Amino acid sequence: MKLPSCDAVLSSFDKEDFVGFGQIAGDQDVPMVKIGYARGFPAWRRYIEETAVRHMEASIRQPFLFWPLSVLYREEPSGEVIDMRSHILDTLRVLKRFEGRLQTVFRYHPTTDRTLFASLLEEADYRDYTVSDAHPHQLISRAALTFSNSGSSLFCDAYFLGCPVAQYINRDPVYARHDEAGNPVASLYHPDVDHFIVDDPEALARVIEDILAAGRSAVRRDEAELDQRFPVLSDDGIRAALAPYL
Amino acid sequence: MSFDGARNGVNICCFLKSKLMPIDNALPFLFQAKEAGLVRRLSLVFYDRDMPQLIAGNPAIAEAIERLAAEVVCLPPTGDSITGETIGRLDRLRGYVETLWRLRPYLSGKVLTLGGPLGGFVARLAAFNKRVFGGTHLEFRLLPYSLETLRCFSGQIHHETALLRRGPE
Repeated sequence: MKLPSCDAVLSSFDKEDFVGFGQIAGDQDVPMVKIGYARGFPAWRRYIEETAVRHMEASIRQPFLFWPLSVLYREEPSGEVIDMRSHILDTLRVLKRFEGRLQTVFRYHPTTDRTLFASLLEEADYRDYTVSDAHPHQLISRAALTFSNSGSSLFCDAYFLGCPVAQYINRDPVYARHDEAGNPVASLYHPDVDHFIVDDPEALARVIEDILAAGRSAVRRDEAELDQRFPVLSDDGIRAALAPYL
Repeated sequence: MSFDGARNGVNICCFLKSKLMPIDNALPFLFQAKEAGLVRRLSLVFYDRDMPQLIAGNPAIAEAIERLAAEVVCLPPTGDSITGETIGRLDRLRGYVETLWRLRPYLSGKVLTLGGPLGGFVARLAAFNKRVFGGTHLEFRLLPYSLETLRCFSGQIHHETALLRRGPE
């Protein structure tokens, strides 16, 4: 049975941009309603702020680094191996120098192997941390730095919310854009990453020192750029966009 | 913030894949749509993955759903894409039939069906609602990136692709 197509697609981008990235399969005639950067809607941001104190653990201490975790180790059916263990260990050894001055707030992803992660913390003898269940936006809004080895879509949210963003990878730089010679030159999330550091623990330590000295003001976001890159519809805008379909 | 007593808007039945990224993109939109008076009554149907397990470690998501939705239905998970385990066809069919029965008061008249990209049972339910009840069917294509960021990693086919497919951050 051929299913009727949907009446419209609610999208983050204009239709030509989505088509260019192959994000629309099949029916190209479906109207597309651009609603922009959904995570920036003010009603959501108010909710997140209203509930932050209740959802954040009492053990979280300022200043803190927010580190959203993802897959630590996995063998893919294709034979590829995702292995973040050495990246994480190298990072923890740098963070160990800042224990007592900078807490790390980890957040598990459903794919994170918690037993393996505990063993990495033990191996690095890292103690100054909290594992949080709070929403990432609640943590980003209060963090001195948002950090990840592999990168995360949360980097985009951190950029939007004015939190400095750092990514550290070591000698296995697959989570990067490379130049023609194969050298890692930028994060996959490049536009949203303030500090992209490859195999240089001292550079990571300097970034952390700078953040501790200057706080979130260590980075500045241009409001006009944010409006352009992360368009957020107003109530009137969302009503106008959806009016034909309601 | 409370949405009790909303007089305007339409009834929405929203199907969402039980994964963090679709939920994290859809909930902000639904909050704003409700505040703008576009939504009168929201039914949330989660499918594909184990929603109770996902909510267990996400109090902000759980509370947001509680505030937004008049009713929440969690379809049984269709399996684990990492281990390759799937639930039996009969169990899945039973879950779908039970869901249809529970949703029947809302699958008539002006109903908006959101969710996507849709496939299988959910696509057929949306099509049924559109054809039989004249409902409107909208799909989400919401991504958590700016266009510049999407452009940056769209050329990458390395591990990141696998990460995004298997378990978005």
